[in-house]
Amino acid sequence: MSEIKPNLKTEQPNADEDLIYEPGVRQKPHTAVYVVISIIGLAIGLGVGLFYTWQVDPVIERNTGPDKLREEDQINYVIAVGLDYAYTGNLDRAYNLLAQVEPSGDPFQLAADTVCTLTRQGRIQTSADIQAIRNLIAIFQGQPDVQTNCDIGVFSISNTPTPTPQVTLPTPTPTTPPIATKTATPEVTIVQETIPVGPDATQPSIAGEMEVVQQRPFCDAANPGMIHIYVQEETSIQIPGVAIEVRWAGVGGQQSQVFYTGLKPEIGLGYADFKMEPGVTYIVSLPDYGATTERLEARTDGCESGAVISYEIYFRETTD
Amino acid sequence: MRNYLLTGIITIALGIGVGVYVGWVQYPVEYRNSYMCQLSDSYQEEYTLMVARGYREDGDLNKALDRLQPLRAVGVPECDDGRSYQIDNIPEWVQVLTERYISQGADPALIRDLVALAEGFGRLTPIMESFRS
Repeated sequence: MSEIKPNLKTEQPNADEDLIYEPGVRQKPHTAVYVVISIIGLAIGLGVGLFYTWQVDPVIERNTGPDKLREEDQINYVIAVGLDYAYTGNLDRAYNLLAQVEPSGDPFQLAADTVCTLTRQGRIQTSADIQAIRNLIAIFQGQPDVQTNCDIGVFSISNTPTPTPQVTLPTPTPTTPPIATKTATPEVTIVQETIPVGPDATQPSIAGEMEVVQQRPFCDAANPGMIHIYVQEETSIQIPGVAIEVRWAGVGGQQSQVFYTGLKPEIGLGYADFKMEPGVTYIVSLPDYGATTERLEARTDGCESGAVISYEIYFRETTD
Repeated sequence: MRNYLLTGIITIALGIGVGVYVGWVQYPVEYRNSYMCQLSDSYQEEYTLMVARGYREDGDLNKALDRLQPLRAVGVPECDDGRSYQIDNIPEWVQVLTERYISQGADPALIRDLVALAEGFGRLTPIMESFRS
């Protein structure tokens, strides 16, 4: 019996050859169907998953950066960078802050583009807006490869100081500016009585625009912390009766004072002055004409004598 | 047939899992037009500091307030992102930030800039007194 079994086994494979082959033939379509079902299932699942996460319940972004802000807020951010630069004078910091807004672009070009956008949109309406523009211009001015596709010349100031001016101490005594065609004569005393100054005075006739043509710090130990202001026609003739506004941040918030040229005709018909408090920063403007100075900081570390620094400001009419 | 159905259900579930991972973790929706109130806390603080310096520069309190207004989250549904402090009252926000920086021992120069703005808003508190310019 034990010898017969091996014989049977050796014969069966040849006899049932088809039976061994057939199961393999049946499995092939099964595998293909499984593969197709898996692919379709994965595709459907993936589609459902993405639709849910992108459309139905997208993840809430909690840490947005300046580069993802909408255009209006990006402009606000860039303006703030300009303010920061005007105060700190730190160009590296300004560069890095601007790079946060447009990581892939040139930060200086971004500042230039923002200036042009603001100009085109007519968003420059107040002296603060003009100052903001000047701050941005100060960032990209002098940088190579920066192109402006708008006219920024209208915002430039002659002899614009850097945000943190290194004050040199030229002359201890300011010199009174020469009057171009009029000389101080005793007649001036007569003029003093007739000059219409103050809020009720008639507006002086100024045909063109006014702009700051000079803003110069100097030291005067005898009379420290003064802002000497001169308002002139285009031909340097001084103009009396022009309202001047000085603004500063006081203890109770923003403060301002308005006064008029011509109250000290012995110095000049278009002259006015203002006494600064040490450490306070001031802005001088002609509210009727929109001309505004850079910030004037009443520094105490700029003069060898330790006196508060003084400033000389020239506003001049332009007919361009 | 039963196996086919089971395979289909399993692969669909697998696909959903992959889709959720990709859609929430790997490639979440990218917001391109975010509001300033959606900025991360650090950028909001940076922005406030810049405006504070602008205030020290020009002394224009109203302008500083205008510039900080976009940080307000109230009325902007997108800004309701569940963060611990939602900015609503701007002077209060400046006060909170200033006091936080003082508590954290931040750079005194930076604190002075914020204190000036807080003072401008009438939010000068005793802890800020020593940082007044």
